[in-house]
Amino acid sequence: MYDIDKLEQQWLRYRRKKVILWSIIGLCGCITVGATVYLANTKVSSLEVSSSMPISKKNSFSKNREVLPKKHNLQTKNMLSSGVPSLVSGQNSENLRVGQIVFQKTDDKMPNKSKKHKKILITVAERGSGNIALDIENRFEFAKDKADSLFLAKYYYDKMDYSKAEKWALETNKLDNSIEESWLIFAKAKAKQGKRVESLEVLKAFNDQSESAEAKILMDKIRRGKKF
Amino acid sequence: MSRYTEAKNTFIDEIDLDAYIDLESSRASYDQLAHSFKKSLKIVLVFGQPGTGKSLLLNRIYRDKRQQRELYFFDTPIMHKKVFFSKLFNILTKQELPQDSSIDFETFIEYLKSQKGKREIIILLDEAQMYPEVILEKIRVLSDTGVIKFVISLHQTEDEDLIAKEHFQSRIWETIELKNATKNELKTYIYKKLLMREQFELANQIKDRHCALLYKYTLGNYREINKMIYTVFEIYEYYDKNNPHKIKHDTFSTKIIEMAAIKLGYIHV
Repeated sequence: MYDIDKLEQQWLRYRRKKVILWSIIGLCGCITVGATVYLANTKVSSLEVSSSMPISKKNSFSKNREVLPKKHNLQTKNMLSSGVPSLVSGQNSENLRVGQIVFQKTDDKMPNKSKKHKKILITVAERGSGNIALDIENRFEFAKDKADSLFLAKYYYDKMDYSKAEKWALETNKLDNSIEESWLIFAKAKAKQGKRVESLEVLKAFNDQSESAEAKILMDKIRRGKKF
Repeated sequence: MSRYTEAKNTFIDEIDLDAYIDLESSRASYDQLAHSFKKSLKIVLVFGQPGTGKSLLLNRIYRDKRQQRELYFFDTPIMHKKVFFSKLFNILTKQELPQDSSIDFETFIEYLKSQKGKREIIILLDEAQMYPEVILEKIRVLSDTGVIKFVISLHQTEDEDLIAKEHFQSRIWETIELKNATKNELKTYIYKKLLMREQFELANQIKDRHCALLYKYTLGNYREINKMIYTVFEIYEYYDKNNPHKIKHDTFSTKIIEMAAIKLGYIHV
């Protein structure tokens, strides 16, 4: 009869080797998957923009973006020309260096268009100065687009640069004085700079012409000295 | 006797015609060989890797057909020309060759030719690759007489194919190739073997995954399967006698298959 003890030991050694081998294979698989996911998440930032543009326009837009020359080609103007933009994420210029923009079709008023969300992924390569606000300001000089100025107003407000926020909100109002958001940013920027009375006057004027609930709430907060 | 001992003995690698397992592929080979007996006499080549059942096939056909035909079986190779002719002399004349006498080959051939149409002799030669070349050459000439038909079984290797090619190819009437078992055949083989010894419980414990593992090591070679299962049950038998708590009696163990594979050198640790 065999030496069963020896055979058992050999089997245990074999089993251990097998387990180690499979563990290494599993670990390598996990590392590969993890690294892939990590690289995908870090190298590519995504910017999701709701747009009311028709699909055909969006497609042509994406093509335009790819052939744009050296200037930073976010093309916010075109992007926002037919609707109010909503920058959901990636508003920091750092995030916009290399990234992905996801356009979501949200406008169901457009005729002959599917109500489904249509996503177009565009990879934005780094071009231009690298400072998104500066690029948009430069573009505003010749394009005079209210979407650009509104974007800058929000951008600077978020950066707590209230004087610039006020300036760009005013620029927006000059181009279109019916945009509630620019009025509110204008008023909030003034209030943040301590010009509470002026801020309330602005809000009152806007409320008188538009009966904005948002304006009323903001007025109330400013009067009470609450956070906004 | 332990049920493992009984099961182990089932897989002793020996030619036991009573323990023969009828599988589809082996049945086809048998029918082909039996059918070749009815054809014009020359040479039938049975070939395949060692352990594919060539000897068993020749044994079975000899047992089944010897009452119906003039059938002879040389189960062990004959190395000396004199012994070979002595045997042939005995077959033809039903007499022993007198001592200190020898056969004149040409006279022998003439005698055979005179028997054409009167007798049809079939000689089964197992392990023909072991015959010396001089005897193989005589076999070729003898087959040309049309009185003796040879069924030669050869191992399938390059060299042995050469032997067959050089000596027999132009005369080979029928070629029967035996192959290893498929996965399904392996499973059927093990089941039937165990059921033959009424080891129902053990047979039911052997699942597909066990058969897959056995196939992985044996590649479906019947000799290897026998060796492997024999070793598996031998290990079971040991545990059953000495450490019964170390084995589960209601399930078949992959561990023990692997231990047997280590023992037989399929797994190198």
